[in-house]
Amino acid sequence: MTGLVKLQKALILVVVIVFLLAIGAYLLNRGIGIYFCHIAIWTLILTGPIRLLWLSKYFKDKNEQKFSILALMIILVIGLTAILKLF
Amino acid sequence: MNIFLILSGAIAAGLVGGFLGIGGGVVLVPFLTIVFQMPIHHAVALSLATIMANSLTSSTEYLQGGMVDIKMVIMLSIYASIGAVAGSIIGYYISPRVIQVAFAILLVYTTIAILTKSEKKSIRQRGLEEIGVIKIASIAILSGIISSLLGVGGGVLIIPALYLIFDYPLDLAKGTSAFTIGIIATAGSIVYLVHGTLSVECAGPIMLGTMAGGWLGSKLGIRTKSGYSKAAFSLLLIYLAVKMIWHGAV
Repeated sequence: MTGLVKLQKALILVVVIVFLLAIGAYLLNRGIGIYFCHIAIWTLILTGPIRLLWLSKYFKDKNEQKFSILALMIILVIGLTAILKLF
Repeated sequence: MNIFLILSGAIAAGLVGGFLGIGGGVVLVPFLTIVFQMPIHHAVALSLATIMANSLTSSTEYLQGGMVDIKMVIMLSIYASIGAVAGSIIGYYISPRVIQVAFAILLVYTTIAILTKSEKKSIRQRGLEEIGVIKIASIAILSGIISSLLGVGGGVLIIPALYLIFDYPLDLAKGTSAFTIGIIATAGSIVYLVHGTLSVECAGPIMLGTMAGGWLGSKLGIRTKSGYSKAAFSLLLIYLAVKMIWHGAV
């Protein structure tokens, strides 16, 4: 799981940088800042599917097809849930 | 809004969330609604998004400590997501008051079970095959339904289930929950963000504070003796039970 730890640390770094940029932009210009805030939250949201994609590949490499497919299915369920709740 | 006050509240929420392997909404929602008079649905939306931030940092620490069962994360995530959809449908037919009181009774029972469980019983971790998919699916779907109906984080149910029913050691249960809740919160956060309920203006300091708190809390959680974690988690459950009974009765 060291690969996943490295990935998560990289994701943390990206999320922190994006949120710091968003705060900076918001303090300089509210309009642009809100745009950056949206980008920051979408970046955070994407960390879940990115981790699941990594897990899917990890299980595929370990020849555990069942868990590899299930990890991808979670992304699908998340997407479907969001669409169902939106409409 | 005072940025430093928001930051300190978010750090506190992250600390509790990371330490107990839950989202931290139990601290953040009252903080935002009482201190900043934020409407409850905005506070809940922000709280849900912070679960992802908290989960990212705290689960990294738990992963490093070997305290996450990743296969269980996958099983719980898929069924809890299905449960969340079912919960939003069930919500149309059952009164929330009935669910709140029933859930409060379940929380009291869970607290007693956690406090009285012998540590020796949870030393051996059972494999997924031994536990069985039906048992895991039932617990995860129930957790998703209750989370969706009552707005409580899945961790409050996942941790006791892993610890009491599946005989996971408490630290492993906390780590597994910390990872799972971040995945489960994704769909809800997308919905809140697209609907505009998620207040993006305060998101920056809250997310950064929660991430810092989550990191500290999980470090503390890994080092703390199981007995203290049990006591802290039981206190949280009692607080939630009283809150549920209060809301259900009033």
